[in-house]
Amino acid sequence: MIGALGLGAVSPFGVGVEPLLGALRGEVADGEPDDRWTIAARRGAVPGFKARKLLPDRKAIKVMSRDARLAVVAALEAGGPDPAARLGISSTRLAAFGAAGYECAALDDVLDMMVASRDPADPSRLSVGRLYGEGRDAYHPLAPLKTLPNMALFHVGMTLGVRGPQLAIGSSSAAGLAALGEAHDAITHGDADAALVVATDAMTALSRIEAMVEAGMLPGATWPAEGAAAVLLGPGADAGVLAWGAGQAPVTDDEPASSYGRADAGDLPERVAAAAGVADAVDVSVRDACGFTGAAEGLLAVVVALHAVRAGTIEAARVTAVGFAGDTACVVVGRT
Amino acid sequence: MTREVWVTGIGLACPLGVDLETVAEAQREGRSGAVSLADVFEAPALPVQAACVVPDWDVDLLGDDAAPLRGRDDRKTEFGLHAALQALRAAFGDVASAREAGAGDRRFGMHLASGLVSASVADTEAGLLRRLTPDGEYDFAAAEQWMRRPSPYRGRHLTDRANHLLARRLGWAGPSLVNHAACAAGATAIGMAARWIRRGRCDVALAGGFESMIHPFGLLSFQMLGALSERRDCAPAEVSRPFDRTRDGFVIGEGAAMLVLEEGERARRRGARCFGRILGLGTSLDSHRITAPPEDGRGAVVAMRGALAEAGWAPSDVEYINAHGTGTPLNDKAETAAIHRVFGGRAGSPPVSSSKSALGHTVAAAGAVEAALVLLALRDGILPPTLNLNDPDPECDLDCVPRRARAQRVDRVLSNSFGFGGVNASLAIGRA
Repeated sequence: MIGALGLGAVSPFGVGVEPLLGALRGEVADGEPDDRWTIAARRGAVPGFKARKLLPDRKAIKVMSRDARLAVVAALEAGGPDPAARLGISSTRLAAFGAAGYECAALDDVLDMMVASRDPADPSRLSVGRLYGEGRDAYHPLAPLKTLPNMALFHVGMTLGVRGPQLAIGSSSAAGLAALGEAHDAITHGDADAALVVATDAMTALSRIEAMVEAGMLPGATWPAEGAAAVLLGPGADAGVLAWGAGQAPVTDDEPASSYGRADAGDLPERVAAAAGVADAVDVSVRDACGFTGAAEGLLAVVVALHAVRAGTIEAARVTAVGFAGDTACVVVGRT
Repeated sequence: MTREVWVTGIGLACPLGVDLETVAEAQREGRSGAVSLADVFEAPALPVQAACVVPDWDVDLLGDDAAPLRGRDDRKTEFGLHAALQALRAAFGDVASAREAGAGDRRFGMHLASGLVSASVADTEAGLLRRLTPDGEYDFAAAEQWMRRPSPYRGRHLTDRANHLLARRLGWAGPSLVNHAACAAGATAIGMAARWIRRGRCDVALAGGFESMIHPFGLLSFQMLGALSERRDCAPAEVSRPFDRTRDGFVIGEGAAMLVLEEGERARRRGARCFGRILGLGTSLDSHRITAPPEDGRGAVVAMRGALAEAGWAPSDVEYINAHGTGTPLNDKAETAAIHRVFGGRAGSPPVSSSKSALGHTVAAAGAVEAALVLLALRDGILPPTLNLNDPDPECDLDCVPRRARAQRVDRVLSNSFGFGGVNASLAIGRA
């Protein structure tokens, strides 16, 4: 049966699956949602995340966005440095399916360029002429590479030697679960022998905080956080995906953005549980503990759930996520 | 019994036109969509002269559907919506019928491909420049206050906006994804959506990609990466030169294409028109270098072989390849090596052409736009030309259909899309 051969996580509690589990066991919350969120505080950031210590290729770090760095660390924990060799398969039969945030340019990457590109007569305006002169000179030549949304998957593939099928989906908290489900199907149908599934996001970036405001999540409902999760899927494991489904929640037809970030999963969780043949799956979510980790949060919950199933704490668990656009995914995991 | 995947609707907006027949005619006549970049925006310091722009575009072409996009300056989503509505009309007669067919139905899905984040100048001024102190420090407190107020600029850079707009319009309840496999995204979206149908997850899916990077930030990024042609010694239409010895980079394009994919038996029963069939997808990662493919094109080989395997074709079955063919020195050479490896050298390779010679590189939309052009080629028995191929590169030893469209009926075609970060996708597309 197809199941989880390795798990990895980076969360606001630290690097690795253990700190996340430890925090959840101790019911330690990183903070309480309130009205006093500040974008400068970055309380949802991963503590002690030192890319130079955690990543094998130090030269690559300068072209990696925050999302990509988190993703590679989680993937290394789940798959080891060479998962294809570990599984005894060709690297072209190992897939990488990933979910990443919608935008990877950090303020620090673009600030100098923007400052240099201001119109001297009116600093609130951009001068396109200066953008291609002083602005370009102030922009690291490799910085554009950080902004490509598939770069987290590229760095995972590059670091772990993945050369098989790819899928890089994004923009949604449901994306990690959809990537896991699609990877499960890809192995089931023989597109790949195994798959590394990675979900990553840094909602602490300015533009993502802005998206949370638009979606009605800030202030008050949660706080911006970052994290990554990884699952190595393949045959022979004792816990894995029993069933999954994806759908589109109804969105309202009156105001352009009235339902943005406000849809619910409808009956998808019940249908997926029924397909899995599981009546009493435990619903798992990490948002109350971690804050909002965007595209990573569904797969972070799956990592917690799979660990609990493997440990025999629970028989089965269900994870559900709804994206801002109402895209929904649900996965039931259990003993395979 | 194998579930077939029919294409029952095509919609597009690309530098060759915003309706199918105009684009088909431009393809037959070998027209280019390139114009002078100076006609789009003034950037004298940018050493790039050409861009392939969707002609005469106006958001009001969307009619009543323009309302949520008006004033948002979100060109790529406008193209995406236009292509989607056009494809739905082709498949269902009108959009209301598409809604009636699939509203609330979990077997009607959507897999879209969206590109790189395209913050506009207005966006950047509102969100960043006006939050800077005179010393160039970012004022977080001012930003917070600004974020808490409604703004027409907010959220337009989110790549799932088209999914949300189409969900509102259609009410389809099946899976809804947006993928970001760079230049391979459009082909990946179509191939994955076809798998949903072939493997029983859906009966109908809207699939395709949309993109517009012709703005100051988009061009800056590509130019810094050394990907754009900086040729200035010819007319804009002569800049894009895939497979030519004098090629020096691609010309940026923009656009969208959407296909309505439908389970064959269902489509047959309701008397739908079949434009062609999506038969296979192969994808891969190069895991080589961030901006360059391996010289032997091995990632592209895995993708093409994957598409052939899913379609159940031998290499000798393939009669035409719509190449990725960007016109960068490295891509065209590596793609040639990959084609030689899969098809057994020049002698075994079918005709190959690059649509990017006419419409530039539409990035995340490229795989979808080029799949639409392939479907037109199948319909019309016309192989699109590789424009400006006057001095073929001996290291790109292929039959590249130089300069003029070729009348040739083909039944089995591969469409290649390879992207930054070494993401590869190849689609197998068959005649109706």
